[in-house]
Amino acid sequence: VTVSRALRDKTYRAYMEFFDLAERKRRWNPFRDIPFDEIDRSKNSEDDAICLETFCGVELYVPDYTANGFNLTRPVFGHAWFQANWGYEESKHALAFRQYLILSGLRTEDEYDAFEQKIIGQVWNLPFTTRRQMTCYGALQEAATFLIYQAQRERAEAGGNHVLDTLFGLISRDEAAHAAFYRQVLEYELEEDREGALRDLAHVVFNFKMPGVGLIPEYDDRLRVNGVGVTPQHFLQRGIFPLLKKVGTSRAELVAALDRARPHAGPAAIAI
Amino acid sequence: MNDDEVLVSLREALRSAAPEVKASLTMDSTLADLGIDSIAALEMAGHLENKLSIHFPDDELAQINSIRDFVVLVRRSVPGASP
Repeated sequence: VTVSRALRDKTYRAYMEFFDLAERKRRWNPFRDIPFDEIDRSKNSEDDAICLETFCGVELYVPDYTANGFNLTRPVFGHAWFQANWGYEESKHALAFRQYLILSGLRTEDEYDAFEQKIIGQVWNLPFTTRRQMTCYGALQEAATFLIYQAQRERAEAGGNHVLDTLFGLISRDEAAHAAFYRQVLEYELEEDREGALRDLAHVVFNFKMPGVGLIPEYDDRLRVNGVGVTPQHFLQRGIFPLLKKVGTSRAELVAALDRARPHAGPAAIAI
Repeated sequence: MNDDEVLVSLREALRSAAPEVKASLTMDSTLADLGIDSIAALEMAGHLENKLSIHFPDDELAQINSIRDFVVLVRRSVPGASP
């Protein structure tokens, strides 16, 4: 697939801004910046364990995400290099979740290892096939993940769990930065080919699933635990609608693009 | 526009947005009964807005859980219709 020079240049600039900001303001160390030695075990519950384990499980597919992501984005250096940074940051999230699960006693090392083995027994495959569709997916998925982690942070803060509050504060800030990068690239894609990008965005919005679906063990049961997921209503209001507004489109334009992309049946045949 | 007329429009919108849904749509159906979520309902809303030349506020659309909610929203959005 040929990518225009203009799109490559703009994506490269977006990556440099993302990287510069990350280096200056957003880097953190899971061993030094989260006060694991101050964990208060009385503030933890099995629901916390299920939430953390599920989030960790989703982050553990980093090898699949990055392998697929690199293959898809390699014609656009800015995007491919973003993938490298994204993978680094997501792997750090998994590490932070793992540390909390084990150091808090919510899971033993053996229990965690058994979970990890179940995770790597499955392979994550691309939910959509093109770089542009995956850009749309990234913008939505990172926004949903940010909302979930932000809610976790608020819950930790309300419950006086300052360790989890710190952990989710750092991680959700990363997710917000990832969502912003994807959103920016999506805006460039819309500038480049509005009709095609809208068609892809509509396709992704109406077929969206979080990455853990079908992969994380007992995922549906886990979703019943408060905070593991985000409700469709909340995602609409805080994820999808703001994204549409930010990239300069609307629900109506999205539905119209979906309609145009659909093969329409011709007039009914007349029986003879 | 009465409730029955809104239901007819909603059935058309559902057929268009989710032709795979076989459950029958009634006033008491929830989105879950129909096997769709509020994101899928966006598409239904788009068809209704086009057909009836109305516009649903995003925040109200996001709160829809049932066909009754949809009907109330449509009736509130159609000029001159009683809510």
